Amino acid sequence: MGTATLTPPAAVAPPAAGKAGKGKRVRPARERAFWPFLLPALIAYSALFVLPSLFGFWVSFNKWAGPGSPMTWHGLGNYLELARSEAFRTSFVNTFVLAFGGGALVFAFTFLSMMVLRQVKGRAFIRSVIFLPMIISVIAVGVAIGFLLNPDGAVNTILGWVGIEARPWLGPDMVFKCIVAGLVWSSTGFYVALMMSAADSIPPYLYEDAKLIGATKWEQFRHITLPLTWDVFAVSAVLWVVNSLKVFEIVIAFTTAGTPASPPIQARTVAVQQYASVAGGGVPELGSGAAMGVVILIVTTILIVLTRRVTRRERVELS
Amino acid sequence: MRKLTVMLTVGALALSVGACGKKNGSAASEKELVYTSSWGADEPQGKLIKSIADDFTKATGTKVDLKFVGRKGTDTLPTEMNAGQGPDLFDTSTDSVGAFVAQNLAAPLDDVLDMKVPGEGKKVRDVLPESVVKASTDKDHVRFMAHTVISTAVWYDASKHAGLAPKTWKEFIAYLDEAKKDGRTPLGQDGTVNFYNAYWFYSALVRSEGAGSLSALGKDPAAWDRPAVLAAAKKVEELADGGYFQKDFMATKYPAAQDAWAQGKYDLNLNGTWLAAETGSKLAKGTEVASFQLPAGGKNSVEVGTLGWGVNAKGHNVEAAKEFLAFALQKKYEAKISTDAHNIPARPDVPAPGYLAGVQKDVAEAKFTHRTYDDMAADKNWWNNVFLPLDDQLLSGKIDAATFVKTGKKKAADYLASKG
Amino acid sequence: MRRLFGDILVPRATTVALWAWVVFNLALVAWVGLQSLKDSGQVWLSPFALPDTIEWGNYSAAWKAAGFSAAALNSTVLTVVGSLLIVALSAPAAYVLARSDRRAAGRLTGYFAMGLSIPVQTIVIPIIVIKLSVSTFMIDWVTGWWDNRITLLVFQVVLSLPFAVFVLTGYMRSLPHEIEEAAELDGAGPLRAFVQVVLPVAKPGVMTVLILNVIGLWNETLLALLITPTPEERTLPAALLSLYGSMQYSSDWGALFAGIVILVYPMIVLYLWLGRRIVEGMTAGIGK
Repeated sequence: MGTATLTPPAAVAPPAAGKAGKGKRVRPARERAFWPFLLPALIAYSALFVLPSLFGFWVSFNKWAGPGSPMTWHGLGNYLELARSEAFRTSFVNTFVLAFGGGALVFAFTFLSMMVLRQVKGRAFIRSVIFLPMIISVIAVGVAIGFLLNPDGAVNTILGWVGIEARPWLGPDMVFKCIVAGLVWSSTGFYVALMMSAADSIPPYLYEDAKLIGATKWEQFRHITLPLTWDVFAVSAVLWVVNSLKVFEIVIAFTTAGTPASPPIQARTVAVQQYASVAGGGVPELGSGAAMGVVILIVTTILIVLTRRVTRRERVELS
Repeated sequence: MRKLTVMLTVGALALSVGACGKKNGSAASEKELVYTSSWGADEPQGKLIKSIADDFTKATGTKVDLKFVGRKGTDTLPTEMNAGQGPDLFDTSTDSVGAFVAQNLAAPLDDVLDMKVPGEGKKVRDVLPESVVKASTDKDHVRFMAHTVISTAVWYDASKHAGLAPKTWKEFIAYLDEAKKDGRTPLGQDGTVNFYNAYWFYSALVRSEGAGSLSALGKDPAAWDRPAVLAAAKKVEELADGGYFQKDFMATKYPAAQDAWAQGKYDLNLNGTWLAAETGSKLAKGTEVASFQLPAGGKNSVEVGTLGWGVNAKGHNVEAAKEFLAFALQKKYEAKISTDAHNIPARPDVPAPGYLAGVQKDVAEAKFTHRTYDDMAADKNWWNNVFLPLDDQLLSGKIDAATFVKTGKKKAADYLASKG
Repeated sequence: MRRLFGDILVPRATTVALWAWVVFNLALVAWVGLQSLKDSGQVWLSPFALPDTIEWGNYSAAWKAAGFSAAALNSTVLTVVGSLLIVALSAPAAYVLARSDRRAAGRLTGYFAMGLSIPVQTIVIPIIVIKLSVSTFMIDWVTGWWDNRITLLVFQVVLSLPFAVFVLTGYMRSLPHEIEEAAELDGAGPLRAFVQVVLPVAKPGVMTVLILNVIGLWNETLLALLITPTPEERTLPAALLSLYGSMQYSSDWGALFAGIVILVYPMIVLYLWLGRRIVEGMTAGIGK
């Protein structure tokens, strides 16, 4: 699988070549420890994560309501039904919009923040506070959302004070935009923290030189910070892709939290659609749910490979 | 082969599903009923169930292991029951029992009708009216025992609008116009709950055309061609275009609109018979809750749905569970459905709370009745993925009645084709 | 023009936006705290006012309702034990993966990273199957009892492994090579060398993984809903959801906000205390 490329680049500390010879001569203790140290994690991960995933793959070719009920072979039937289902197609498109649109916003904000966060006053404080939403339970956000975004809620009240007309934030047409905004709000801090700490280690003299030749802050970011943190950006982009394709809780939080209703079709992601097929009333359709999981896995893999390719091509070696 | 694959993939663990030899002998669990409830322990229904269970243990010696998991906690209940790990008793209702029946999980309860209600010398059959039993029955069997009757009506405050009861759609619209002219908001709607939005089209169609007229739409594209479907959609279109709902109602997160209705901010709310109970603590002082049926003409069919207890066909104690049902239907417990839970009891010899007396009477006297959502919700893919989103578009005024019908017909055909 | 745009307009606007963002976040956290001290009427009617009287009773109400006390205990135990287990499993594995010259090491690192791309939902179904099978199996054949919280713990740990191994492998690679060689020349066994020499040096990375997992496990909801639905087994996010569901008949909004505070504030305190370290270790692990 192309996901092997996730391996973090070993640019900083490659296994020192000069010492490899010595390592071979006296078989180091860490080599003897290889399997004992690795096996507990490897076994747990294989047995309870990888095997279940393979089982899910198998289930996706069957019709099944769960253990205890008969499993009948359905071939590609589940996949064909998904392709024909408008609700699934919508959720699929939404997931993409979230991954690309949300991703563009997250990294646009991240880049802009990186441009100023190097020298602005109170930068450490800003960095920690914008990370804050990341640690707040989405469920808690969802519970407060009705208070904030209802037609006569706090947000519209505040907008009213400054003379802006109230908006139907949670209505079927706007709620997905609000979800994307909420997701960007809660995750950008993580990527800022990640990329800023990489930017911190860039030697200051590079910026001083740049200033001497009259580079603007934007140009300093464009030609120094970004190229030198490109590796971290590449990993961040992959992490974003992986996480955005799993988005589930925040949709529930913004839409139907606390009721058994189904979220409006305009706001469903594949994960939400899948949860509905597996749990939440009616005959569980585990085969269909598993097929959605497989589709997302394939999409994730493709997107990771693409992201790696794109970020590799634009890589600039400066130092 | 299939079994083998399951074993290989999930490991030896899967072996135990359906295995018979037990370390923990079944003798120990025989004298215990397991009941997983989707009520909350603090809700009046939860408290009532707890007291029934305690009394039942005292009377019979059978312990009841009660778990109140709440609405969200029962998402995986059918899966657990199928795996042989479910409870003996579970909460269900007219519109949710179908899923259990489809998985052979709802034990037939026809024989409970002939069991005696303890201390009353009457059979269950004699205390539950036919309409209630019908709402708990599928085409073959009685599937659950009802404790509560639910129905849908338009709710208002009689202290402000005494005796409000429009007899025709015209009168209804006239009232809405008048309220609007007086600067009031005639209708409150929690528009983010799609199945509440569906009340309008469903009531307009099924109250006039009777049972089967709505569910047909998901089974036969030609059903959309009936003039009555367009007529009902036209009524909803009229509501959407008339601006009778509160501003941005489609963006109102439940329960904001029904709470505001309780505070007197809106005149009317189309909702279930539980509305007054749900909003009880928020009702403005002096509110006298009253209701009328949405005027529809035609058959004037009345919704009769029920909430009740089902018995897990794969449970370990089917017989004891049935005994529990007959026990729970005693008058003293049913009275609490009325006095504590503020709902309509399934037994007509127990009076409903005053403000529900009208609905109880409508239910008892109706010539035609239909079940909750005319059973359309049983097909959850059609309901959640196709019908409700389409209905939301109609109620929010994004499409007109003609488009609704045209699109509905096409989507029904597509949906049926996709099922293959 | 270029200077106006790149040196003044964009940086200034960004700075303003960043501070606005900071103010919004702080205001939100403070607002939730204030709301939790009001009586229910005031929560609704004057959401931006200071509380008239301080209602500490909201906290006891939230604590009693919806089993918050049991949930807080469950969440604490699951979070602490779970994140320690994650580190205990992933740190040694990441160490040998990062430092070994074997060809298998590279492949296995990729094998773990693959897990990052598998959405939890893909294995929701197998997890339900395993949950049901394990409890039947244990009750019928082995112990005679089983607690679904153990199943929840195991899955929360296993599902966190790919990210933990991924970050720690990257971090261990960045450590200087001399350290454990020195320890090994001293004749220390691999385990002793790891615990006494490598772990102390790798502390920032390990702390990052630990803290990120504490936050992750504390807030985890999907698995908790699926595996442990009963009130005694519930975790805090599930308890909050259940409290929210019960609001429709109790309307105790003050208590609801108290519930949010009980769920959110401990993590904020933890973050204020250790926040700096998350960032340090993260760069080294993911970044370089």
